[in-house]
Amino acid sequence: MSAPIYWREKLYRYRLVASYCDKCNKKYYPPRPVCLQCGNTELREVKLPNTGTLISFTTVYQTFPEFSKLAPYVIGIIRLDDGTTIVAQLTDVDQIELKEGIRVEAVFRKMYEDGESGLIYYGTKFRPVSR
Amino acid sequence: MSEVYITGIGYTQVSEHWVKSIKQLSLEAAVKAIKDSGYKKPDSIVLSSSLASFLQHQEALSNLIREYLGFSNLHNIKVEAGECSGSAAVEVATSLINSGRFKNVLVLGVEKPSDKLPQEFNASLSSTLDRDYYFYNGITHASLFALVYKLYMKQYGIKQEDIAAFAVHDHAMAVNVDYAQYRFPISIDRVLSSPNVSEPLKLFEAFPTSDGASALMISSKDQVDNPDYAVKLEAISSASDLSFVYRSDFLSFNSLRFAFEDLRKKTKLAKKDINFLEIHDSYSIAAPLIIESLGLAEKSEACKMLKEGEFEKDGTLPLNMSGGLKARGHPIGATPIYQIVEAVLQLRGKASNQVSNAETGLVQSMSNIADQAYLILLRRYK
Ligand SMILES: [Zn+2]
Repeated sequence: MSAPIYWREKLYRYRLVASYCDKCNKKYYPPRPVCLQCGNTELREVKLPNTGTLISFTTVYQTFPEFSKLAPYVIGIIRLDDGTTIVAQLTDVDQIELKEGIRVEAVFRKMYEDGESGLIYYGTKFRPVSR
Repeated sequence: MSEVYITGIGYTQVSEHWVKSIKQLSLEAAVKAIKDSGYKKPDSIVLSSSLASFLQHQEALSNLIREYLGFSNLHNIKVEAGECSGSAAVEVATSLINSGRFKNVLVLGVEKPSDKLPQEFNASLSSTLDRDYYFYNGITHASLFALVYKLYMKQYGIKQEDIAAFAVHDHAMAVNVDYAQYRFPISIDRVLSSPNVSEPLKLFEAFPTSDGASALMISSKDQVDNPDYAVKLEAISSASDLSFVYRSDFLSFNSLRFAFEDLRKKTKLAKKDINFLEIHDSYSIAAPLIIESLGLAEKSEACKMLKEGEFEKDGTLPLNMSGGLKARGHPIGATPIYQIVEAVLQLRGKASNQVSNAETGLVQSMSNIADQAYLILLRRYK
């Protein structure tokens, strides 16, 4: 991935910023320019809550070369506290028995390194909320 | 209503073809289809390949293949629509004929992922999902199906062995299919003890790395000279759905529901008229979701139907007589055309797992997790 593409997408990757259609009361993450329900192009940026509930998860063993050092890692469907569902990576799960229904929170983490350009890519993952 | 017919079919063995190039595979399938059509000369080549730009670093592939096939000057175009590229190519070819522009169009599907390492193939395939999000977050195709797999089991109280049984079914069918990649039966224990791809999804529940080329000669009605061989392309319907991350119901494939509604509007097709069904079961869990989204089983009932033998050759809805994506194989851009080849063989009465008195067959294909879907209805020539 080239640096310009990375910078363009940075905002929503670093912070959970969604686009919101106030006609449909619908949020989109990753954000998008047009509402998929009504065609509204006047969507505005809203910050999503950082916490939510794990709905489903899978441990990924076979993956892309860029993620092979990380594997096995966990991908989950998370229902955020405002009802928005997002699909994201889970982290800090080594010592924990994952279960549907547990509470998770967003954290800023390294995604992968680009071997060719040497860039390190960052984004949002979720970790179990410690009790 | 379309008046377009398939007058010839050709295909290579589905395999990992270490010694053959993408061009050689294309040539082999194309020559067979032209021969099978009674040596019709195509007016156009519509090529389907989804990943050649990644796997072979080759673009403008249709013109390259056109030359390799020995046509010095011939209309050609490549169609790309992810894993349903082959169906989209058939749709384009049908339109070219229905418009009156051409009489015979060669539709050729080809893919050769074995040119790359499995991880690189996986990365190439990720190009059919929005890379800015899915690839960036390490979200593989298999992981999406795995997430849905768990939701399906939990929602309906169904065990993994009942879902993985669709892979066992595919293998059992492929034993008799001479062009299939894996012509051996597997037991449910072997499927469930194979390594995890993305848990709970096992390696033997996932499509393999498959190379292959498949071809159809598609012709206008006046070009049909062998009614015993010709098969009517009765209807093509396609639809699309939100990307996985935007869905609210993960257990329904809306694209399939929309496409089937459209197909039934066009053809007045009753469910009982479908004599066999070929589906895009890239992963075992795709099978029940596809069948249920089409309304050919009630929600949660597809696994039970499999157990009760309804999807066998003599059942109420013979399924994947070709061996499906698991055992016939899944050469991405060629897969829907292999599905249609199988349907043509069935409707000619020449299939390896022949369904008796087959008159109408339905072919379903889709890209990713039903982001886009095609249904193609084929009927015996009358
Ligand atoms: Zn809206």
